[in-house]
Amino acid sequence: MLCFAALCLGAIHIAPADVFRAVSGAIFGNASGTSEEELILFSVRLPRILFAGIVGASLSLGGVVFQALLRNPLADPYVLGISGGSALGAIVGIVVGAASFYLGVPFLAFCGALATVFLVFIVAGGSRGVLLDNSLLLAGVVVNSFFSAAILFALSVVNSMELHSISFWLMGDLSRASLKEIFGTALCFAACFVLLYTQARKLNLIVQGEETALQLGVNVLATKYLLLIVTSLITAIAVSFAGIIGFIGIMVPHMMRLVFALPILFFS
Amino acid sequence: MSVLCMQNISFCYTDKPVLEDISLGLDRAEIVAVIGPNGSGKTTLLKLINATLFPLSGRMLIEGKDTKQWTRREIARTVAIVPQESPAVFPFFAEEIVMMGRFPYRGSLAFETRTDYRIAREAMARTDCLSFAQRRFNELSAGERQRVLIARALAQEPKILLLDESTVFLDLKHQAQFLSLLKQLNQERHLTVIFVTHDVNLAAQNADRLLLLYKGKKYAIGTPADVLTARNMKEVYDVDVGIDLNPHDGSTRVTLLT
Repeated sequence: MLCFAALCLGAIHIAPADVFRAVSGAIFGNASGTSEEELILFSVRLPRILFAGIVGASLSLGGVVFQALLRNPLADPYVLGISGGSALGAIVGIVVGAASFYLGVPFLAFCGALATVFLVFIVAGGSRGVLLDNSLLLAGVVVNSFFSAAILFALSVVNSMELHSISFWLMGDLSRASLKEIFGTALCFAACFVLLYTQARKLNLIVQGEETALQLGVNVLATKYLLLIVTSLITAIAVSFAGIIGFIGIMVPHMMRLVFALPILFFS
Repeated sequence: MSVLCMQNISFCYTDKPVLEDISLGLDRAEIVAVIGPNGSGKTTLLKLINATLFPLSGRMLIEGKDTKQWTRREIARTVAIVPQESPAVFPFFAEEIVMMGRFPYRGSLAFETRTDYRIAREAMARTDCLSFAQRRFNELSAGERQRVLIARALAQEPKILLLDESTVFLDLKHQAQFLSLLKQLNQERHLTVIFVTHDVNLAAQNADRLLLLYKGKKYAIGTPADVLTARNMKEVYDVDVGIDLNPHDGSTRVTLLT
């Protein structure tokens, strides 16, 4: 329903009936594929809708994992400062002109996100092999504020053209995705989803407390590292293509829990 | 062969030793109570047994094998613990909590088998929590929660059961039910039980042997009558007690003299 509404709405108004005709035409293979309206539908709006779905799914998945790992219902995939790090990476990319290369800005945003995760691990004492949940959370907040400061500084020195594209990026922008990128992101998401699904039971146990999880036979430290790394990866990918889109990662897990009235995942 | 063997175990969290040079062997189907003042290392000892912690020196052997060499799943199939309290952040159903006790028997992907469900149900029946199986864990009373946690430990089908103050929240009926369940499992399945308690009379009535810890050291080990003496109580707890025999079951009885 929402997808259909999104197909109808936009700068150029297309009547719902026309959208329906175009979509059914595409499905049943008798579309002309040439009219202006079909062009707008299939090469502008449809990719964005698909991309929004994938990015939203990735961020929600990240939210579930972080809420469980940190045992904090306020956690979202950005708690480890991934948003700040990738934003800084993207800004650096825009300023140095990486936008002229294929995937230049997303790549730098991705690097920024990964660098942030490592930084947070080190600040939280991850090198000692101790990952207390509060220290991770605090380290994430610290690193994120540092990056906010760096972003503000960067915004104050760039010229207005760059400022425009930076602020678009910071708001979150689904428009740059081509089908190739959408496909790539979808593949990454699918792979991460399968991997996280295999850890779902262990995650349910970790929610009960790490000591309890240990006592029930979960190798907590290894599981935690795996989950953190995979989740950070998928969040970094989503953020580097779509910019910083908030809210989804924190709210969707809660909404799903309400809808299904079930804890975390439906297979404990 | 003793099912559990501690050889000169020492442990500390910081510089201050929590446990020092503890040696003890437990036979199969033995019931041992661990008593001692606050901070004497009782809970730490339990954590060393279920390999949540590892001794800094000395060896902890379960069935002759060092706990460091066991995998987590193997440990979880052999040793179960009923903790003092369990945090309830996300609202799981009581039966889900109990099913978690079956985790060490499954792969991460395998679905629960009929046997898993049967064992979990049976554990819940034995601890009288079937009536609130479909209720959320965080909405239960402390005593009900404790029964759920006991059921989870039973669902692990352990050979060694560790109890950390597991009867404190139970009402009289469920305390009696739990204690007779322990004795039943002890006889039927030769379950070895180690329980930490502050209730010395409960320990005297239910344990074969008592381990009295004081400042991280093994102060005394032996039958209730050997350990619960007026002199030991005075030195360890700094209290004056009267010792006599319980007229109902002949166990050693400690009465605080205030």
